[in-house]
Amino acid sequence: MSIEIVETAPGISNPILILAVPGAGLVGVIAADHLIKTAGLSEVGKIDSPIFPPVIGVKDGIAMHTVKIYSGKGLYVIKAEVPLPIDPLLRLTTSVLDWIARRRPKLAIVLGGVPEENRIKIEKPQVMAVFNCEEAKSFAENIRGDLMKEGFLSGYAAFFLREATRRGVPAAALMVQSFATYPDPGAAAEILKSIEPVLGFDIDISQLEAESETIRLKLKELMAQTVQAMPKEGQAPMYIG
Amino acid sequence: MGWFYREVRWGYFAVRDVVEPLSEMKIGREGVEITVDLPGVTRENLMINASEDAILVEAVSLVGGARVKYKKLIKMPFPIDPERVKARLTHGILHIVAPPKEVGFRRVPVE
Repeated sequence: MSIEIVETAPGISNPILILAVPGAGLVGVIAADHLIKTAGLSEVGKIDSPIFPPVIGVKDGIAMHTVKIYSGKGLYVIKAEVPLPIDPLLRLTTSVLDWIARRRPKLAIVLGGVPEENRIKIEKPQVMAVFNCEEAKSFAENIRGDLMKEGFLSGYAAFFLREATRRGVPAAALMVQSFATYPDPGAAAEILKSIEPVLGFDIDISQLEAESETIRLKLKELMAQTVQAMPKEGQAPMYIG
Repeated sequence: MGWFYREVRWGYFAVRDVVEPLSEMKIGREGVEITVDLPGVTRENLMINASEDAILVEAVSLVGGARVKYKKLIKMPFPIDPERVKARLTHGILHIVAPPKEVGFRRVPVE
């Protein structure tokens, strides 16, 4: 069963790709949503597959796909609005990397949260970056985050970086300290600030901060479903999208 | 984002049903540690009742111009001491620590 990527607008070459899927603190989804809104990105496609969960979005009575492609300002943002089980998620990732590899991207970035037990005590969560090659690292050298110097990375970010390397796509995994089971707009704001220099334009996060509580309430259901979809501790691969 | 979000508009005000907040519970060194996500809630609009078996959290908030009522009954995995339960609210996240009920032996007089 295949993953189908349908574009409804002419493609752009040498883009930056941002991939956001529901995970810890819904950081990627909140950040992508805010970026789409503030940078004025438009919907240019959808991704669908029979292996995706039988869920659709509804807006004004019209059924909508739950994995969408947005574009503008030399950027592609792919956002999944429902939590995907591990197998469909991994297959979506490889299909997206196959698709973007043909566009010769400058960088493919995955945004995610790393659950931090003491997040409530942390005013400014720390952003950590891992790249898959020197080319990616030098392109994003002005990123506002700490480089992971040494160690092991497991889970979805590791899968993303490894698959990007296999396809010759420069890639980065950006992870921010976040709540595990509560939507975390504060962590999403930090991750957006960290990628500003790479994107080359300013992102106004004031609205994200002002609407933080509304976002937390709106995303309650998605967060609950995401927690259910996450594998329990000790199971591999970990899902940190 | 947003379509999971259901809202019932009633008259002039936006009124939602009672919302069950997200919560997390773990057993720590001091007893049962619970966090509850209560966006928009202040201390004045929060009420916590504790018994040996459960903690009831009720709150009201104004989020995005709408009045939201939260209610959550959290059952304890073991009997707790309701007198020693402590709670702290930070940025709309409630943190409760419920120490276990102390079980001691009492001398029984023999008649």
